[in-house]
This record gives sequence, C-alpha cells and structure tokens, in this order.
Amino acid sequence: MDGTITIHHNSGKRQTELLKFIKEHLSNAVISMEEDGGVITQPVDVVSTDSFTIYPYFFPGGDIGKLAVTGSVNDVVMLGAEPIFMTLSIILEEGFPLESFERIVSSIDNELRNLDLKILCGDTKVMNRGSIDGIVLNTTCFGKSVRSPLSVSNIEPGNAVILTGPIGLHGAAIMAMRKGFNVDFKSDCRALTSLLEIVKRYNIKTMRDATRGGVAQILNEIAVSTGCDIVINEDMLLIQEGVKSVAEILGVDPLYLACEGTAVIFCDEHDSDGVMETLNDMGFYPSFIGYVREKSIIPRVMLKNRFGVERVLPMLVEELTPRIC
Amino acid sequence: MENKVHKVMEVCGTHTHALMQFGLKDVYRDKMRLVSGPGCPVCVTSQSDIDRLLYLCDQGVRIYTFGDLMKVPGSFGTLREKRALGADVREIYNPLEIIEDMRKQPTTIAVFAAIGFETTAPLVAELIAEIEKSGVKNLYIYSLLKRIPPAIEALLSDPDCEIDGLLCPGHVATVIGETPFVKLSEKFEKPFVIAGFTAEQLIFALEKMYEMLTKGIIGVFNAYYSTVKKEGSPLALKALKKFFETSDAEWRGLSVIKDSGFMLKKEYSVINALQKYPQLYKITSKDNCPCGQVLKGKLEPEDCSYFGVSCNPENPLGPCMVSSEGSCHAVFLYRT
Repeated sequence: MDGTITIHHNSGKRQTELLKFIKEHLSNAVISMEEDGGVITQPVDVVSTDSFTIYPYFFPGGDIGKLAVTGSVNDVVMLGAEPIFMTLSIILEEGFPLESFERIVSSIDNELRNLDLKILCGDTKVMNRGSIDGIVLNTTCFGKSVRSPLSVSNIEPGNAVILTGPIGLHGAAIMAMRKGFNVDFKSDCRALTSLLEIVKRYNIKTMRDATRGGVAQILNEIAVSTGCDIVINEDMLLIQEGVKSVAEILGVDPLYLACEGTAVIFCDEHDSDGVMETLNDMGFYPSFIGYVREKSIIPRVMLKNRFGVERVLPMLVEELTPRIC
Repeated sequence: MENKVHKVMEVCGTHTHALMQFGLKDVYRDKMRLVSGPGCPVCVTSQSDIDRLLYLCDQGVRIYTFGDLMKVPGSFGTLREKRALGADVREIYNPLEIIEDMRKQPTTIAVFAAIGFETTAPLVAELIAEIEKSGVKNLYIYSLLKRIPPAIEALLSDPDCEIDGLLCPGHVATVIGETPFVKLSEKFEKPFVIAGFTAEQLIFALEKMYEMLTKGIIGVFNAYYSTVKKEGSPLALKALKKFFETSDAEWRGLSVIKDSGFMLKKEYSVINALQKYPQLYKITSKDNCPCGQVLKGKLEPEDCSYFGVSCNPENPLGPCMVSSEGSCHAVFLYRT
C-alpha cells in the first residue's frame, strides 16, 4: 500500500488491500471481517456504542485507537458488565498518512489483546479530503453483567460518592498538547475492567467514567436523573499539580476536564470503607468526595470549599474556552 | 462609621471569577460590597467592533481571535454564527500560531482581532515583530487592545461614583507596575490594593483593603509582591512602546475613553486592518444591553431585568454573560 489513504480505498482492489492491511494488524483479535456481520455465540445483556474524534490523534498516555477501545469498554464496565465483543467502524479522510493509521490500528490491537477482547465485525469508509478531521472511529461493545445492571435509578439519599483517582488528566493533557505546553503528566486513558471486582463485592449503585465534561458534568447528570442534590467536598478532590497548572494558565476548572480512566462510584454508605480499601489494594487512588443529599425541586451539585462556603457546581453549558488574560 | 459597608470594585475579570468561586463575596458581605468593574476584555468590546468583524467576514476575510469573542452578539449575530454559515473564523490561544497558517496560505487575507489589556498586548507586539521578521504579507492587525488605568480614571471621575476602594488587577500590574495605580490613588484619594488570584492572596488583599478603608489610608498596597514589581516588566513595556501608541478607544457601556487604547504606530500601518479596510470606520452601532451599567458597578448582575431570564450563558444578550471572566457569567455560575 502507498503512504496515504485515498478515495480509491473505498472500493475494488484498493479496498481489499486496505482490509487486508487492517486484518494483518488486528490478526489476533478479528473474529470475522470476511462477512457483512458477525455471529454472537455467547449471551450478552449490555451494549454501548460511541464515536471517537480527537485532535491530536496521538497524545501522552494514548491515541485515538486506544481511546476508541477503552471508551466503549468503560461504558460497558460502568453498567457492571464484562466486555465480550466489540465492533469497529473506521472512517478515514483522504490523505490520512498510512503510517499514522498503522500506529492507530496497532494500538487498537494492543489494547484488545490486553483486554482479551475480540472484534465481532467491522467496516471502513474513506471520505473526501476536508469532509472529516482525519479519522473517526466508532466502537460498539457488548458485555455480560456480573450482576443486575447498574443504574442511576438505584441511587438513594445518603449514598457515598467515591472517585477512583485524580481528575482532569486527559483533558489537561490534550489541552496542553494543543497549546504546545510541555507537561510531565499524561492522559489517564485506560480500561477500567478491574472495577468489576468491586461491583461483585459491594452494593454499588452506579458508576460513571468522567469523560467529556469531567466530574462536574457526570455529577450534574446524576443529580438531574435522581432528583437529589449531591454535595461534594472540594478538598477531597485529587488534582495533580501539573493539571492544576494547565487549568490555571488556561483559566479552566479541572472539574470540567475530561478523564478517560477515572470513574465516579455511587455506593451504599456502609460499603464506602470497603470500596475505598479494595480500590487502594487494586492500585487506584480513591477519594471519598461526598454524598447524595435529599430530594430537591431543583436538583443541584453543591461544592463545599475549605471556607465552609457551599456553591453550585453548574452543568457545563458548552465547550471550555481558555481565558484571554 | 465602623458599621459602614464599603463598596470595593475589583477591576479584573479573573478576580471576579475567583471571588465568586471561593465564596469570598459572601464572606466579606458585612464589611465590603465587592462589585465587578470593566476588567474583562471581552465584556468591554463594543458592539460596533463586533459588527466590524462581522463585516470583514462578509468580505471573505479570515478572522483570528480568542475564544470568548466568538460568542459576543453584534447587531446581526456572532462570529460563531458567521462561522457556522461558512465564514472563515478561527479561534486561537497564542497569536504566534497564526504566522505558520499565513505562510502556508499566502493568498488568504486574514485579520487578527486583537482584544485584551496590558497583559495581552505584549503578545500582540510579539506577533507584530514576527510578522516583520517572517515577511508574511497577508495578515493584518485590528487592535482592540485597551489600557486599564484610563478606564479606572473614567470610572472614578464619574460624579455618581460610589466606589470606596479598588482591587487592582494583578496580571495588568505585572506588566505596568505600581506607578500608574499610585497616581490614580492619589488623584482620587482612595485606597488601591494590587491582588493575586489564589484564595489566600485574595483574602490577604481584602484584609488589607478593609484595614485601609477603616483607617482612612490612601495609597497603593501591593499584596501581590511576589509577582508585581514596582516598575512592572521592562521587557513587556519596551515591546509595547515599540509597536503601539495610545489612542482613544470605545468601551462597551463606557463610551469612548481618552487614551485608553493601544493603536499601532504609523510605522506599522501597512499591517493595520483599519488602513487596509477604511470602511470599518463607517460602521457604528449602539450597545443595547445594560452591560455598561454592570461594568460601572452601578447595577448588580442579579438586578438586571434580563439576568437569568432572557440572558444566560446559553443565550447571552451581552458580553458580561458571554465571557468566562464576565461578572454576570460568574454570578450565574456561582449562584447559591
């Protein structure tokens, strides 16, 4: 194959070459890319799909390929299910460098191998130059619940809110790269399948990975869904110094920066110690950040700071923009 | 006298944001009423200037600017809406990013809408130096850069001004130093405190402000001494002097303030967008929202009849609700 993707990779001989190229790089993970679809041979009860676009495609701690696998895997894990299969749809822009594509497909393969996860079926398309921004990946993950699926509807006032680790690493890493800052931290992009262990052991109500919009967005969505206020202690949030610096320079709040390997866990308050201990043993850096308060007419997330002042942590209205001065 | 609640203005959008974020407005409510001033470059950009940028879009000119300006409504929409309709509007963080673009696309004509105060102006000066050095001939500067001290002077000169003390912008002071604030403090016989941005720095500054107010002390206290030097930043000041001269500038809600703008010097008129597009002078429009009253500290955001109803961060009527440093936006965001 030549060094770049062209529109001719959409059909005929070139398409066959492209598919062969992908299959070679996903050799151990592909179940079927010969047929138009795959056959599910195991029972599944959870499914989640997501599309991935990101610039830059390669970032400290990951790339769009790793993100596309872990993103859908985490969505299934957050429902308390073990990932079993995945589908992969690739849309490429004409002119996309083959070398970058090879790195991305290899990264997908590497992540799939780590997770012992197979591709059930896939698809590729090439679009005219300028139609999309380089590459778009869509993954759909199928999973089998380790217990009854987790749901926001399980949440009750008094439940504990636990974070599995520091916040904002992914968002800050991407923003830093875009702005050309040198930073000594990387994205937390990773699969959270090990969290299924605590789902098996404890009365977990629900879990959410704090992706786009960060922890603030997730908490707000849950407050609205449950109709309950959620109170968070600002001092208990783990924020790495590098993330704080990037956020400070750009004038953005780390609570709104995306995480790709940190989840918010809601559990029965009696289980909170056990959950914290288990997460610690598994190598996470958990923190007990707050609890679910009573039902409210206007459900809100309240952030309590070190001066004892409680303020509303609002939902993000739109994309974060850096401040001017 | 001891029970008087002093009215203190913070002349910096980042201070406004931080004071709300840390809940310090509430903490000091019984001692000082903290009101927001014209310290956000987005908030003080006039509707005329937005309309001029929209006009340039219609001429097929590519516009580069900083994020929040994209959302400020002009008479017929925003730059972001123009972009959605096909205009070439690009958001940047570092102005130097533009040079490479322009070099790659020598037939494209672009204008950089340079908004900001003394803090941002040195960056624009660096861009101008780079334009000269690189030989790029298709990039023009529309300077909307503004100077903070003349705006403070205009506010304090207002006979209805009720401001008892000023919390000076730490970032601006880093560039211009203490001296311009000393002159203003002496002229208007009010206490000024230069403040940093962490909760601790702000508390220190507010405590000092309260002490000066209650003891009747006039002058400038530099509570951000770790960063702000008396003489400011000689390097930044030299760059400003090389490329800019002062000019009258239009501030949203405050009208034209004498010597409050940074205009490109004549030597650089070849890259001045106003020279390239003299039609821009003819475009003038009126600001219709009450942001100007908010910027003067005469209207609390929550007392504005539009606040939170027809004007909110999703649908801002004016720039004070658009900008993340705007006082209305901060009050909306951190309301309890």
